Amino acid sequence: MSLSAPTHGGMPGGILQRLMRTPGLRRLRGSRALLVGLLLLATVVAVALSAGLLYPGDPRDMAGPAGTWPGIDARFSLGTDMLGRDMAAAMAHSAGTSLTVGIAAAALALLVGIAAGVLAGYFGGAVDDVLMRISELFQTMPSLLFTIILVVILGPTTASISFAIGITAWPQIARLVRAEAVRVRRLDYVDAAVTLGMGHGRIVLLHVLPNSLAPVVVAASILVAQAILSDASLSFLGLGDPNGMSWGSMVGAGRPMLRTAWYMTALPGGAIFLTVMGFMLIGNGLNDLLNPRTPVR
Amino acid sequence: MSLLEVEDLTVRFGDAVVVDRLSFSVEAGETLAIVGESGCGKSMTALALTRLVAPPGRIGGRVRLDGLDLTGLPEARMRAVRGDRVGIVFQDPMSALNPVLTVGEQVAEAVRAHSPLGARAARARAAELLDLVHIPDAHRRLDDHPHRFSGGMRQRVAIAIAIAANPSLLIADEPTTALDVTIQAQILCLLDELRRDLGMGLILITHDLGVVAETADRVLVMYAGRKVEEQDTPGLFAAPLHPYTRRLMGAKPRLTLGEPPPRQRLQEIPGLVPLPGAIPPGCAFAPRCADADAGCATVPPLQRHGRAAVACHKVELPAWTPRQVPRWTDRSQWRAAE
Amino acid sequence: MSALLEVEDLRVRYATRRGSLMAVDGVSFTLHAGRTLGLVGESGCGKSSLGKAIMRIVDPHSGAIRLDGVDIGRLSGGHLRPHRRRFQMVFQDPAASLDPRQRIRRALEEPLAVHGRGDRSERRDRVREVMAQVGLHPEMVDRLPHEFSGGQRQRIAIARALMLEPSLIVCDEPVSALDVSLQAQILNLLADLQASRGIAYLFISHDLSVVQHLADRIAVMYLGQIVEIADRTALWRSPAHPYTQALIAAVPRMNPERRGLNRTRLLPGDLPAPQDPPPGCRFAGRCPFATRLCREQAPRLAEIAPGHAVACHLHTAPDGGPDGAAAPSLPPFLQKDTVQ
Repeated sequence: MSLSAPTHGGMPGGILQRLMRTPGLRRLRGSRALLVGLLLLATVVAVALSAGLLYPGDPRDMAGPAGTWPGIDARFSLGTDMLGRDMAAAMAHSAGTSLTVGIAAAALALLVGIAAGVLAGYFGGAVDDVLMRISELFQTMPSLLFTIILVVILGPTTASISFAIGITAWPQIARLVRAEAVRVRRLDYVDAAVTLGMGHGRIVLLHVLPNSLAPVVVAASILVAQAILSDASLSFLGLGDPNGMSWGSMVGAGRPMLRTAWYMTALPGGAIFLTVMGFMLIGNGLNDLLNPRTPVR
Repeated sequence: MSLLEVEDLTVRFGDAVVVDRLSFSVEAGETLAIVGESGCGKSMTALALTRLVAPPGRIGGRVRLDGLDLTGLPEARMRAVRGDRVGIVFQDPMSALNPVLTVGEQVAEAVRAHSPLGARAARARAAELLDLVHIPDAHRRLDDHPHRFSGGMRQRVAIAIAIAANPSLLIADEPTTALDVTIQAQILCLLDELRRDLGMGLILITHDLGVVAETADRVLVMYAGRKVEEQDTPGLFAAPLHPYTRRLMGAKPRLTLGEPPPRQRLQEIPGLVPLPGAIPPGCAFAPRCADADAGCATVPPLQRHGRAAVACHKVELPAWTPRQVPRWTDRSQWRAAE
Repeated sequence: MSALLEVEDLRVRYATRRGSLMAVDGVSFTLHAGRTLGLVGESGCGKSSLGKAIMRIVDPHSGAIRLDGVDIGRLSGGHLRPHRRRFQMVFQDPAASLDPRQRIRRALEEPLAVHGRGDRSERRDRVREVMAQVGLHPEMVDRLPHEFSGGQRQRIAIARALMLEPSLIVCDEPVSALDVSLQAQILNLLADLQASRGIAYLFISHDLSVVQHLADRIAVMYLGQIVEIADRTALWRSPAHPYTQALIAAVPRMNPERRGLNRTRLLPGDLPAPQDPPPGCRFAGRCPFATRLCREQAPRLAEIAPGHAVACHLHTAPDGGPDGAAAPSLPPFLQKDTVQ
């Protein structure tokens, strides 16, 4: 099966196809989802990185007449909002915020989740019981509510929002890693390490941890997507960082104008959708790649 | 006409030939053992006979059962043939049974799949079948779930399901490999008894030459997807023809009662079984064969003599008499341990 | 000859959902340096648990495991580590006993690193040396386990066990996962290593023919206990316990004349549940010779000849005695196919 040349994403199809033919990347060809996801993500990252160059200055400044629809004024390709701010500049600057929060929150959740999961799975018994009861405590609380409470207590900064989202998301990672660690713990190579006289720390770091991470790779990208959604929800509710712009706060701000100027909510909403979609596709693509139903011959 | 006639059966996955032009037949009431090491294509042969090879795999050749040509049969008819005329028993009795259904339900379901019996009659027949495979207290155990059965008992249930519709051919793919020796002996006896009492043909697929010797009428030895030897069981163990068969027998330590034999090195077969898709040209066993020479660069034809057949350039069948073939029991060729 | 390994009244207990289970229940034996003790029995008889307890992968419930006089059953953590190099293990499934992410070099250097042996170049040399010993090409040192065949992987596992020059290797079904042609290679390798390095093996297997081939002394286990233990000549010449006899009779042999022998009557039924072993002799429920005494009182392992001990009332009951009338003689089908 050959891949039809992708024409979007600013990358000439020929180069991409040649890239796909190199041995390490050949398996990528099997997963369109992964490819599309990566292209979406690359676009968002490129926009976020170049926001300062493309739209220098504060995106919160008034730049033109309020409520200009996209495609009317050449200066404002995506129009302006009700305060006359350039939608395109706001969108580009917000990309960075969303990605930062998403990735930072996911990183925290992964760190805590992997550590707790591996320890619970490897040691079992009392360690397992305690860690799993704590994770249940987190899971039984509605996570958005919990996040909101944390943000209210800690104050709405990018760091505290990332922390609040990350700290409510770790239990799912912990459970995933624990299940793997329990499986790996029973394998003979762990017993073999015991018979060599290896201590628990080395066994966990060298053998159990690396072999328990396969499902996490998939979960991590989905986690980023969830974190971006949570961040958008917080911003929409007006709990976002007041000093920064984000897609969520743009959706919230545009909400009163939904009937007359729907583009003000649709554009940032679409951006959230595409970014989340990108991470989800990467997650699913990695899943296909790492758990192939038919072995590659 | 034989119960089962297989002609040039071939299974390929892409370029990899897993079963290569295999021909054999099975008579009613006869046990044919197909023996070989893992990857030799013996299990794939069982799947191909019932057309259960998974999609990328392609089956070629002719299979006739009871005079019915299975080759061109549409899938719906084939489904009726499976179970109805051919019963299959697999290696792992754990995964062959559904853990959430009772044993009685599963056997009754197999009964009803091929006969118009009502629920009550099917249940009665299920109890009969469990009794036939010697499950003690068959009536009472109908309502137990599989996890309440031991491995050997589960395999008995799997056999009961396989023979539910009175098939004329039973295929058992490594039926005792997952079981302990004493349970293995029970299951082999059961299979033999059922074959005799129900007059079925039995194809026993195994890697264990001991199982072959004690259960089979005829043996087909496979290597790298091909038949390398076929003989009646006594003949095969008295005088194996193919160098591979001889080596295989020499590689297995033999249990001897009484005075234990002096320690000797086991006869090794150097190298590895070739993988499908990487089968050497010519005789597939040649790279591992001590007798191989330049003449082995071509695929050896299958020579037949009476009921024996062998595919080896180094064995001349018509001129062959048992005494001329070195017996594996000839210990002089074994290297002493020390 | 000195005793390398002395196991005394060892018990291993597991907590299961259906109650606690004594997987090994009062096992004692001695293994001398450079010799092989074969441990046979069916699945669930506790032979693997015994091996794991000796390797201190599971903790013994009670009893002693003395290696050269030191009770390694009671040591823990840092006190046990220095002794670890003296006893190593080879597992059944070579696919599971090697970390799939670890290159062979790392897997083999690991034991040296853990025990702080040698510097980098010395370790490297030792890896090459041991790889050559087990018949692996030292060029393959940078490959991952999945790039090897099953037999080669088992050679790697053996090489790992050899790295620290142990005096005892516990082999838990080391050839059961391999094809016959590869089994021969591994069994020959184990025999060669014993001859050249004087390693003692505790060889755990369900395959009697393999045990007969390799073991100097054989212990037969049933439901957590040793029911018979004897030197190879004594055991194969005159197996005394009815279970040993049944086990031997059940092994399919490459002898077509045995076809149609009904061997099932000898050993009907399955192993009883280990959570709730029957009172008296644990084998009584399946034993064709069982008497009331057998069902009521557990027999003790007692010598019936020098070095040959059996736990069976038929041999040791006061009215029977070692040569008493009650002792089962070999069943006819066992006598029939002696040396083939």
